[in-house]
Amino acid sequence: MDNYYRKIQSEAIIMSYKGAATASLLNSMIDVAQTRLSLLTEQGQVKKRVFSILVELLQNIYHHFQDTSYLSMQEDDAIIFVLARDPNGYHVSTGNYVSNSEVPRLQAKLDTVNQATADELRARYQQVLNNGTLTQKSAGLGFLDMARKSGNKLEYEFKPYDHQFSFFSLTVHITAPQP
Amino acid sequence: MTNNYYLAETNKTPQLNFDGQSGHFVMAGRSIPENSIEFYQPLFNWLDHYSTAPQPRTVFDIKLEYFNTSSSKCLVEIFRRLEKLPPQSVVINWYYEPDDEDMLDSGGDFKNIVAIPINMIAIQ
Repeated sequence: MDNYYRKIQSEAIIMSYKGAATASLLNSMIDVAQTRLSLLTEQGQVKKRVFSILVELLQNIYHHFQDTSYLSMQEDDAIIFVLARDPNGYHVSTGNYVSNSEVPRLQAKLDTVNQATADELRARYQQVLNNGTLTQKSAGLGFLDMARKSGNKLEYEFKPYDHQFSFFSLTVHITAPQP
Repeated sequence: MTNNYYLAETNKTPQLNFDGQSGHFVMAGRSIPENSIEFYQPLFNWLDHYSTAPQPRTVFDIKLEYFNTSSSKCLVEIFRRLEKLPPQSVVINWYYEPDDEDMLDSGGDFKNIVAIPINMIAIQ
């Protein structure tokens, strides 16, 4: 509990959401986040990084709509989104349900990204960009891009929910100078 | 089929101004649509048509503020179509704000995988 309060006190939430998810809502969240970020006194490059990472994260959820049943997206806790300042900079977190069958694939992808050096991330990104096929779903570049832009490990967790779904939370830290 | 492909900028999609008569193409603004393929497909079709009778010189100016990863795949699709034009007839200019090293890096990614030379130009 002590740790929890220390954590809350050391971070300042800029924007958060918990609730049902629709495509238009995710869109509006991007707009609101953009307005909130524009009001911050912060280096342009840092703001751009935070914005482009949160766009990737939110659109990642959008692409998961196809994997998850429509009904589960209507639940009160279908998704969570947090954009906050912390002592090291900013972090963006999202949480959403994914099919249990998707978990091993996602976990393997995240682990590979987290083990890669900056040069390996760049090489891998260019390789996927060059060879990958164009699909309606995500481009397969999202995690690579977030890891590259943030320069930090992607923090993730899969919490089993029931026989069908797990709750997938993902946090990306963006380093910034002390305010 | 018209000779130009034009779309006004929105807060999620760039201005597309592809002038088939002058061979001057511009993409400017932000490209963060949720469904990039749906957004870019008509432009791919337009370029397929343009490449059947291109201008002697094609100049493509890209001035993006942001783009999402699905847009980056679509950019590659555009470049692939330009690679089919006669070599030496195409110029790609990648503009970036001097303090935006991420946008400079992104230009470098495309430069590495596209056969057409890409000029990196810092916006003054």
